[in-house]
Amino acid sequence: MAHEPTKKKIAWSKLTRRTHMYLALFLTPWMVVYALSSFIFNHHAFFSGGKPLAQFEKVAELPYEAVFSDDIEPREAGLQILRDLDREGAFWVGQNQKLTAERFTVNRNRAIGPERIHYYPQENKVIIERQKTTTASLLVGLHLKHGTGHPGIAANLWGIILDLVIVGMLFWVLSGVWMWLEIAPARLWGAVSVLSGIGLFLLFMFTV
Amino acid sequence: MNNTNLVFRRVHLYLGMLLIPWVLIYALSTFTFNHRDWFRRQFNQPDSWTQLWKKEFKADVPRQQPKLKEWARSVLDENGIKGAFNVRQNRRSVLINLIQFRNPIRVTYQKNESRLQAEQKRTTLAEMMARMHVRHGYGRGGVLYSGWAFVVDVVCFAFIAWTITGLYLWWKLPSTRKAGWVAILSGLATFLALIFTM
Repeated sequence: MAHEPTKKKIAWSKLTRRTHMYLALFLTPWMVVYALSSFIFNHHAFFSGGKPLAQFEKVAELPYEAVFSDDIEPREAGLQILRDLDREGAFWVGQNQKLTAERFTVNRNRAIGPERIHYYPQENKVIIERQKTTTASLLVGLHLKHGTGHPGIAANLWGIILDLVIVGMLFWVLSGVWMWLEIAPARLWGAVSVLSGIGLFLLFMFTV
Repeated sequence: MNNTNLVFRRVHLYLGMLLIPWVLIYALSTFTFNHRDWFRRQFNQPDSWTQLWKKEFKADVPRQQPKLKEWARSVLDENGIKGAFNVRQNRRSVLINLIQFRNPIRVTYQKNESRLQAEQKRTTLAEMMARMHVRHGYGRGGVLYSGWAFVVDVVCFAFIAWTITGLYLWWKLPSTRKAGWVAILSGLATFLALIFTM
């Protein structure tokens, strides 16, 4: 007599399948972005033609006076400049920059229209440049966004969803293996696929 | 089950099984990027470079990149070091980096001291995964290097294929349509809200 799956096992299998599917449906936009942007990275010369994916253009030159303490960290100074200019949000600054230099640059990495804010301490002014957003630059920009602890909610939420993407990928692997083992006719070719993948990966790991 | 349904199920499954190592590497390395502070000690550890050899060496170094690359290739060949590399120089030294997943090697030529030195890096798992994550592009080494780039293309294709076949398989389960729409639309709304407010 064939071994019948128990009700508990059926319920568990259904829960695994549904979680696998609904998590994937929710994360569809992120997976599409990571697929397309990775393709751009892998064929960068084709998409960029040897130039940056999108150029920055000057959009404003404003008077800006500020006093910073001598020992201020570049990131703190960057945050202060963004607050004063009402441009708070995710940003980065070069950690070797100094406010005593001719120019101090803050990179405000918005998803659409990232900005570079150049502060000239001796001239008491800022020049704001904005990147003209193209499909390729938007995808690459989104691919590179990560981390939490940014000013503002949106960039932090992106970092949290990135963790969900990671959980999703791990769950898809584990639940995928579980579902494969449940499909008897797929065992052989599934095993061939797994072993081929592992073999190929090990070859690359030890030779590249 | 009709043929299309079966083909979509099998493509979804076998592609997933084949690419398990890459999906794991991309997921785990992304976690180290997303929580860089937690893994700070895993990256660029002090004293992680071990000297392999050091020798007296005198050479005229070409200034232009194509010839500099040729010169670096000949230096590596003379010293029995193989693999893809990049090279850069300043007034005092030339640095040749062999970009390997497991144990990168760097060869430094100190111009003023007429000294050539090779070192190998002791690599942590996090560093190795990060190198795999960021490695991309064709034409940087031999067949295996391009082979990795090809697999990156396959992974990109797989993400799209999983999306398309996944949507098809969802649509074929009428009992999940309503909850599926909720998942898709809430994901899309969150995504759009974030990119317009970040």
